[in-house]
Amino acid sequence: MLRYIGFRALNAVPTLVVVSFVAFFVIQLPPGDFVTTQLQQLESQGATVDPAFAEALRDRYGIGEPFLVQYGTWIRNIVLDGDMGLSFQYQRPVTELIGERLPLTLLLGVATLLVTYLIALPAGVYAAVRQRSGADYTISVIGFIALATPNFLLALVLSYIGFKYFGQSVGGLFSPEYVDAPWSLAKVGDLLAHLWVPVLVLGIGGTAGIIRTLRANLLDELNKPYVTTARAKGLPEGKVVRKYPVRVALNPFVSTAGWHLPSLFDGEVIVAVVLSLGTVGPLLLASLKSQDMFLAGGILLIVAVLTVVGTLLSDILLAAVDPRVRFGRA
Amino acid sequence: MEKTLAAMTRRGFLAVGSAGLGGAALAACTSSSETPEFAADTDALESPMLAELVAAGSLPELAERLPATPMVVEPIEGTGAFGGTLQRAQTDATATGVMQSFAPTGLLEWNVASDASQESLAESYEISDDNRVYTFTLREGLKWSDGEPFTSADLAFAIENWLGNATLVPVPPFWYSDVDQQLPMFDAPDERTVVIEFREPFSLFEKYMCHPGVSTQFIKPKHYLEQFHPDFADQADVDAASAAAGFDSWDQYFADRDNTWTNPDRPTMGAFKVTAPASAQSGTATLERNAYFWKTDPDGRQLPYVDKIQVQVLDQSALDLRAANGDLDFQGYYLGYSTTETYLANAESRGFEVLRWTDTWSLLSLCFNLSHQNEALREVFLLRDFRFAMSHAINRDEINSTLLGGLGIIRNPVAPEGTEYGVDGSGQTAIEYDVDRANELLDGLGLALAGDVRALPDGTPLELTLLYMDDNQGMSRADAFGMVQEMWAAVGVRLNLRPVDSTLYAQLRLANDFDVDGTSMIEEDFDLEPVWFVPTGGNSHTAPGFGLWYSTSGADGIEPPDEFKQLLANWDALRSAPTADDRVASGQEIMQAHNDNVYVIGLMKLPFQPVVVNSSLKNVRDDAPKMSFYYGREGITKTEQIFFE
Repeated sequence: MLRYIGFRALNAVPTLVVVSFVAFFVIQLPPGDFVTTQLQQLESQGATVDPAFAEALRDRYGIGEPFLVQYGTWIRNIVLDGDMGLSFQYQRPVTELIGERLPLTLLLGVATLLVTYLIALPAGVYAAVRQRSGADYTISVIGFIALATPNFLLALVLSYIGFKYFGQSVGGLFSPEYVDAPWSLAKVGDLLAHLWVPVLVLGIGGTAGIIRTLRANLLDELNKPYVTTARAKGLPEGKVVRKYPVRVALNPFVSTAGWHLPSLFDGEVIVAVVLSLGTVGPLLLASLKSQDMFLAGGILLIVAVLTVVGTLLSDILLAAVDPRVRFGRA
Repeated sequence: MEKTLAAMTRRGFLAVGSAGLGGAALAACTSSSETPEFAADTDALESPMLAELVAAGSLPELAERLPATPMVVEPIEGTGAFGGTLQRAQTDATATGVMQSFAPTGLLEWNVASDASQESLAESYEISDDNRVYTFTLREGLKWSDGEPFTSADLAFAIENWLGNATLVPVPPFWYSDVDQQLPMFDAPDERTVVIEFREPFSLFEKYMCHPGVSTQFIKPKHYLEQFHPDFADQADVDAASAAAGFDSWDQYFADRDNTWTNPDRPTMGAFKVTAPASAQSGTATLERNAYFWKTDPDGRQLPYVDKIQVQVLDQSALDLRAANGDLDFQGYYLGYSTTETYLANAESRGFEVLRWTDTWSLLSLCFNLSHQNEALREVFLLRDFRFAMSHAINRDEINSTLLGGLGIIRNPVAPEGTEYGVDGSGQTAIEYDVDRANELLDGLGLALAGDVRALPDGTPLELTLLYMDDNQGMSRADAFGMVQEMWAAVGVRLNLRPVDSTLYAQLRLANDFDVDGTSMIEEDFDLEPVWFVPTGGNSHTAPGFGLWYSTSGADGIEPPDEFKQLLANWDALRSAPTADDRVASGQEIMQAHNDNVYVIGLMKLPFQPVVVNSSLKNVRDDAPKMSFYYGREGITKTEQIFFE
């Protein structure tokens, strides 16, 4: 087992190197650079900039340097002193920008994950146990609709309904009067009042897949002889379902649990943008749009690391559950 | 510098909702029959918020905080009450435009009519007859928001140690450069006097000193910023402090410390100062009144009337919804024209008004690349008859009625009549829809039809690509250009539409790599940004090649034909005009040339810019002033004197 884990961990290193290189390369692919973005932005807001000044900016940022030199400097600073460089757009250290958005990002991610499972697991079990009943069809139809509706559209519709019928304000996670207030019960209440929309929107979108997988797996299990035996022995139906079949059917979720790590971090970008949430997602989108290299590269690198770490965790979990995996025979 | 320049142009403010909560809402809900509680003492010369601090001994008396001769501001409707929190919003976290709209600082400022300068931080000023020497005398006893005195030493710091520092400002900005890209001469003979001397006349400097985006940059607190500047502090200490804050070099840290929008510690001379910048958690910035602000109303009561401003950073759709919900107390910039109907439908029930200000920035236009790399195309574009033909081929009335319900204003881009450079009867050349005339002109140029597309003299088909950024804030560009595409096809010119991202758009234009550019044009105050009408740089929309030639003194780019050399000569004459009359004459010549030659084909502009204003917010201009970057956007209504009743 230890040998297996060590081997997996070693595997992760070259993967990370390649991913970081590719990420940095891809960010540089579009024509133009941060300075052209900046020029255009200034112009679209009513101020033109002297091209000579733009050239001076490029020199200042080292934008003209060869790709490998830029990449080397970037990686060296990250590995040696955790310095991800300066965001062009914000003119602030990247680590600081990401750091201040982390708590909210994780809060939203964890809350969304919980809501997704709280809705999806019971619904999936119920749909399987009551196969081909009205409830099963209803759950499936709702699940498919949720899957087919783009999340950001749902967010917009909810926002509009809130405005039209309840005179509710949308955007952000705090009402203005609580923005600078110290933490209190009232402030937490205010946060929750704003948080439910994104959590619901993001949570609902993820339920359909889980419901279908769980339903199918559970249906396989429920027809197995040991379940029939348990029923014949007079165990209550609830216990029959709960004791083993559900646990076995949950296997796929255990093996993919690690993948939730990166999605916690860069969850639904577009929904966060539409609802103006101060999470990492909108920051990533903005940095890619403006070719803010160090910011975009930094976020992508973190997501890549989390993906690799998450996969590693999943592998270890799987190995723990299924001995065949450990010996490379599966 | 990059920061301040960026800062200059961004926008901004914050929104709030749920009337009935918080101070602003309280103010907003008070009926007119009873005096709101915070303004119980209408004789008070200072806000109760500050009176409390004075009583507690943590702030000097008002008389000690004001200069010897405060600037007196004439209210637009009448004097008002202190208090309240103003809610605004903006879509970009880093935009600092709110500082120019609500807390501008400068030696001079625009008068209310915005057609001339008036004193601001300067008590008086003199300009030599030949527009070369500018002398400013500061008010006596001015103080920064931290109580420190504001003197000519602060201006010397901004000019010598900031503008004069090659690391901080690599190239002298166009609003402060003299012959051969050098800085003008500067002298501060005493604590209250500064003299700026240009080697050749610089007629526009007075206007730049009123432009809130520019004038603010001269006002820097030496006593605070010198600790981050190696001219005054030890280089090793400065570098260490920058590194500790996570910056690569001292100049980035200096710019960060100098940013009034993100650094609450930075003293300011503006009406408001940021107390809490917009963090990711809150998404909201809070600004509070500057206790040392140096303007009063005619009764001697210290301005601003409003105590606080909150600015929330929102996505566009959320911002529009908030405006429609009455959550924004005063907002024009960032509001799209296309959502006006929603605002109007909700205005009465949610307690706000929709004002119609003058739009200065929306004339949708088609700019042929007159400096095209392909010589055959360039020759055709430079033929006046070709541009006339393409203009006649467009049925503007049809586009107008389809996209703007016929409300749009049809014209070609030139300075509007009644403005300084406006030429009577201009902007209507070749504007009528006349397909026969268009075909006749094109035939006359030898661009014969080959099938259903005309061909250039060398036989290649006349097929052009229109480059534009897609945008639905005003009118849908894709729809408008789609109609032009059909209309031009009818006279044998094939047009392909190419919507691009903003970065690529800038890149292609700077590389002089486009046929036609579809953009909104400015029309007023072109002298503050000549590149729209005169190719002064490689970022020109009409002729980047000529612009590069001009800005590199002929070393690079494409040499322009005589008519453009004349245009550039007129610009040089305007910039260095010894008198205002000469300046206006040169400017009118440029406009006359644009009018006669239709260098840019205009379609139409929006009839107005919507502005939402809380019904209980007073002293906001309703005479349709210009919404323009050059006048501080909403700041044109002199925001220090608006109040909640």
